[in-house]
Amino acid sequence: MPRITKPITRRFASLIRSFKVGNNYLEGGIPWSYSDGLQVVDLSWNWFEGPIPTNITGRFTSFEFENNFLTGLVPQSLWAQPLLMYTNKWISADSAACPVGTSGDIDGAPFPDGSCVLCHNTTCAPYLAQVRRSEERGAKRQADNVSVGSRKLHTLVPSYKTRAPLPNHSNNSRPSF
Amino acid sequence: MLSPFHSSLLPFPQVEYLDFGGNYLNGTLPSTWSMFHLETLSISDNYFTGPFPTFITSAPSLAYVNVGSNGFAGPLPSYMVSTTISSFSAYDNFFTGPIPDEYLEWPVEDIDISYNHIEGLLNWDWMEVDTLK
Repeated sequence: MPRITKPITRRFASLIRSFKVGNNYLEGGIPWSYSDGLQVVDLSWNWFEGPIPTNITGRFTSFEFENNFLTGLVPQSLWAQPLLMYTNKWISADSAACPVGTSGDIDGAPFPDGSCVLCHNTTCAPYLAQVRRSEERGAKRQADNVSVGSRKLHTLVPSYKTRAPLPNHSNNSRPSF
Repeated sequence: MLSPFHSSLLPFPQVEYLDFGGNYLNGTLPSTWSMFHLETLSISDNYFTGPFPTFITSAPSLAYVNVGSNGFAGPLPSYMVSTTISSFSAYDNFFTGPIPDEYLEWPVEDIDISYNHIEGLLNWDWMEVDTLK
């Protein structure tokens, strides 16, 4: 856990309910302890790495950390979040890979049932982890111009520029979307 | 022809709610607007460019701000005059640099700064506030 290196006034931070920082270039580990009021967390499509903390606590209704460089298993404690289960919201964590020395599918992620199996040196987690770091980060950067779903991914051209062209001032009709 | 956002045309000192969202407005926004009573501002889904507008950071009564899906660039604002800001959306722009530590000082409930070019470590204090009390 990183040391706190300077005093910070915490007058208001506990008020936060929704914290969305997806699709940026944030890095390091993901926090393991969250403010009680925090309900929505989006850490997706960044460069976070390391394990998903096993002791995550909070009152989340949505927790997204897909498409990072996280390793290890999705902690059972995360699935036990009462609000996540009760409200039928979702956890998105498809970037979580198998532990070192094991593998699931070809990307090193657990099998659909969550299991990982022992594997050969060239196909299991350490190898895959290195590949992910050396190649997939580059691939992520290259994916910056790729749109997935309805939103851009680090695109260099904001989505607003992909909308209908500017209206022709020679006529008064509005563009159709 | 003057831009509709020429500072002399929009003093709006009494306005509380202002929504220009979803248009084709462009250019930079003047820093001299004085909006003492502005509580809600949305300029999302336009073509505004430049740094984060300073008139927003200096509006003392703001509670809701949405500048998402524009072409703003540079650092995220680290300071807001308003002490009542509860929702801050700056998604889908070109903001760079780290998430300012000063956000901890804001009384904000909802922050959306996704789809930018923000980098650096995530400030753990954001998340650990309750455990460190």
